[in-house]
Amino acid sequence: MIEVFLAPAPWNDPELFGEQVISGLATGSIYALVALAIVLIYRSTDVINFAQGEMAMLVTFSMWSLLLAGFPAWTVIFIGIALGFALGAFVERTIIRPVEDKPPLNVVVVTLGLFVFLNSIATWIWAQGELPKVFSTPFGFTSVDVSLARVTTHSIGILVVALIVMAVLYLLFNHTKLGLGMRATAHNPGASRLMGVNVGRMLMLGWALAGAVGAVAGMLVAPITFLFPGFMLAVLLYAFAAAVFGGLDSPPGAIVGGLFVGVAENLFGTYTPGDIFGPEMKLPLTLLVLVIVLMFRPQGLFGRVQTRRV
Amino acid sequence: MLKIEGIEASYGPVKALHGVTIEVPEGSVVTLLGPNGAGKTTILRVVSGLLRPSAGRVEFDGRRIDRRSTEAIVRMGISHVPEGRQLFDEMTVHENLMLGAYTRNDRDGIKADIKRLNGYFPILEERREQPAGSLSGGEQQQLAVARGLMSRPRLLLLDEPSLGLAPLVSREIFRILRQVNREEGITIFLVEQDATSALSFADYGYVVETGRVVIEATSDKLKEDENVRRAYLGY
Amino acid sequence: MSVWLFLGLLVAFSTGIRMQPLGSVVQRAILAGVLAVGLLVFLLLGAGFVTELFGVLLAAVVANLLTENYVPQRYRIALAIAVAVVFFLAAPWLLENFRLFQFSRVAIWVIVAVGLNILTGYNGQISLGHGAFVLIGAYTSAILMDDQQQLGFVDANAWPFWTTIIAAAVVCGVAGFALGIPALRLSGPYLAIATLALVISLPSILRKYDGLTGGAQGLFVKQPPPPPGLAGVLERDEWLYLLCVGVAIVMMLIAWGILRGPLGRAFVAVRDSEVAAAAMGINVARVKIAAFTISALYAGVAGSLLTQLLGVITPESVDLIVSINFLTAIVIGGLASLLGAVIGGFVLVLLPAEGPDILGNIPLFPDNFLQKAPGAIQGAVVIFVVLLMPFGVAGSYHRFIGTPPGRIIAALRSIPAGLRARLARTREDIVWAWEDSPFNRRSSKSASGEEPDP
Repeated sequence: MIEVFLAPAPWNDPELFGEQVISGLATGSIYALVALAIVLIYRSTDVINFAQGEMAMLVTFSMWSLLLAGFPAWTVIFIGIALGFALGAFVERTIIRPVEDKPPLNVVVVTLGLFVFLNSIATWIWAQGELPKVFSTPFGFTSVDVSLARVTTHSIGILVVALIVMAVLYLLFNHTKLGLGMRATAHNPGASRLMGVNVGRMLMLGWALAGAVGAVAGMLVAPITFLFPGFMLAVLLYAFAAAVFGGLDSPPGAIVGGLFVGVAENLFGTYTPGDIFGPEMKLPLTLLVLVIVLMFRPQGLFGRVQTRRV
Repeated sequence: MLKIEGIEASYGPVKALHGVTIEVPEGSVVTLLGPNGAGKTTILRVVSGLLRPSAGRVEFDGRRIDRRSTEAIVRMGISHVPEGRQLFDEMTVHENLMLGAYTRNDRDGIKADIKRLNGYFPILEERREQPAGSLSGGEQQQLAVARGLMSRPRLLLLDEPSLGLAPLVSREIFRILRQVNREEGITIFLVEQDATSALSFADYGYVVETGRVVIEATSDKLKEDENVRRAYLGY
Repeated sequence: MSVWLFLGLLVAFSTGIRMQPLGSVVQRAILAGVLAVGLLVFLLLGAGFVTELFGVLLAAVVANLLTENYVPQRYRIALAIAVAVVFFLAAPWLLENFRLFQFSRVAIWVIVAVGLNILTGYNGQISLGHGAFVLIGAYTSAILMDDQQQLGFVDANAWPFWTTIIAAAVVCGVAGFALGIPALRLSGPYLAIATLALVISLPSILRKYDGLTGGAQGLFVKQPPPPPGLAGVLERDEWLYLLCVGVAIVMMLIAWGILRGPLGRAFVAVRDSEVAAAAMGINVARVKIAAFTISALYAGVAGSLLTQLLGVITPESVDLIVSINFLTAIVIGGLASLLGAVIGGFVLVLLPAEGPDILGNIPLFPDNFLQKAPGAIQGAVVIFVVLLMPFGVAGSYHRFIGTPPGRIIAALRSIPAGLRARLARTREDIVWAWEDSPFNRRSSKSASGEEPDP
């Protein structure tokens, strides 16, 4: 009976299983980064940024143009992160702040509008030539053996970069004064102001950091999916799933959620029978799992329970 | 030290203050009395820059501070311990104190101050790594005051420090506040419902009703005042 | 032919606009002024159709001002309804075919917007996934109308088109009910993401199970011909227009009835405070599920009409952007307002259709921008409308009408003084900001309150 549902049984081919898990962890850590960006913004401003993926997309396209113009790779990476940072800050200041004290749906619609706007702008600027565009990786795509599985150097590169980003964020939030101020702002903006924290600046910084983290995710994804105006959409959806899975206000939750979603996605694609599910159904299946998880923990695995007030 | 001159303020269309004038001399303890909704908290909010007055001026050390950012006002040496304490519940006691010192950059001074404040509030040393939300009401109020002192203010704004506390606990808080005022020379501007404690603690008092100052006098005179006695002291 | 549109709407509005209270003379004068400016701007931009719409509205307001004292209100209302009905029935002969098609689409999106407004505007539950219900409704109709050409099962005979509208409504109602139960446990952002997941997943599910859905090619249906009695009088497109608008009007009336009744009040009570609603004896869970069911049912009806109108349905017929646009439409139009849903429906269709032409007439505007980036205009308009009118067009209008004229006049009078005060304050703020800034060394030191330790 089980054989019917599990196309190639995992225990018959441990190598395939290992490969799927490791590459799942690699894509999962990209989801974790985008999920972290979403959580950073949600914690500080209570906004779900639906334009997170498109912001990263715009930055990655800009980087592609810079590479084409002959700038050295490391300079472009640096500029890309700075651009993501600046874009996040700019968006917060110009279009998010004015709607902050308005009905919550307005912010949702503003980020949705931004999503459509940025997508269109990128199409206008970059869709003139051929699409998708090739975006190279500094890590290369050579296969290497890691104990029992073969994985690409790019996957390893993704894991390393994601770990570095997470470590930097952890240090920033837990061991610097700036991080203390940002956490305080997320918890209680009013009291933070009385402590002398510049709350507006902290909110802007939250968006800026999210923009930078998103940009890193964008440049890690682009070599795999290639570059076209919608290339971040699927990533964004998996990242939403990851963030919701872990709890929208929990950074560790976003990381665990991202890794889980990445691995689950790969296993669904490999081990479900093709005639019923198969690879093209892995997104719906992953999302189904997400909805089931939400049934049992509506605030995600690590999220705080919100108290109801009259 | 603090001069409030004819300030008016409103929340949306509702006017909360109709020209309030108050003076707090350096080194003194001044208290604001009045019923709920009289505008006492609003006055503190204007002073600490959380609310911009629509008219009038606020001076601190002879410099205008109304319409300055709260951040700048904290840096100038005014610390506001808000109503309901407003601690960062999920952060530790230590982190709360560090946030109190957010405007300062002298690591050693901050460390020394924490040690000094632990002298006033020994319980905070014990609870150092606990989340502030897990403290009892009295402990939380001590933490709120300690956090307010961490910015090394010269003027401390206190909004109902005795609210919701047992009489014994609130007496203890007032004892510490008096000590802070005498030993460190910190000026205190106090909003309080408990008029008896407030008047025995303060040098000077203002009574605010519906956004206006109706009586002002030294604490001793206020205690004698027939109206104040009937309305606020209950004898 | 658009002159006729102009005249028809003119009479309808000038007489019937009292159905929506227009406020006092002050409000109407300001409204007329705003509309006149809009008319002028669009005239200069050469935006034909939008200019006409503005012209109609302006004429209506002016006519209303002029006739107010001469015609009693009940006659105006009766007359307005009569004119509206005549215009609606005569439109097939008055309007070009592509306008008819546009209006049919407006009618369909209005149905979705009304349904979504019941859920989101009145009941406070966010759904980004209403496109999924529209698709389900559309496919239900397409499958039932299939006559064994594409699908070898279900029923050899194609169902009559109108029965499939009902079937689509029922299927989507059940789907909405099924989704409403888990939605009970999800708070705002979580629900938004879960419904987003639904609308993203559905197309790949539809493609995957192509035995039922025709896969990526989708399903073709025979568009319903005009009924026998009207066969000689109406062309098919004209008949479809009448069908869509007619159903939309019926659905609007039903929604109006529901929202005025106890269930409508329960929706609002639950939105404002679940705890308080429960304390008043409202069964919160039942009310929330009811909102989801009704809302999905509306989307199903709209989906069914979409199938009839297009004659073909594919997994991409309603994509993520369209689904997002439903929410955008009701926020721009105005939450918790039927008028808002109608405005939203118009914006949804007319903005992408007319926007490029209008902007194209602005001198120096880059041409290829309009063809390559139609969404840019839409996105920008959405953001600006939400920033400028936080309560949507209808919400802002209602607020404007509801403000006493005296206060409006006072507000207008105080504008110069306010501007001056603001200027002075800004100047002061800049001075303060400079004094506080780290660049100003002298002052920042004294501002940081660093006194010698006692």
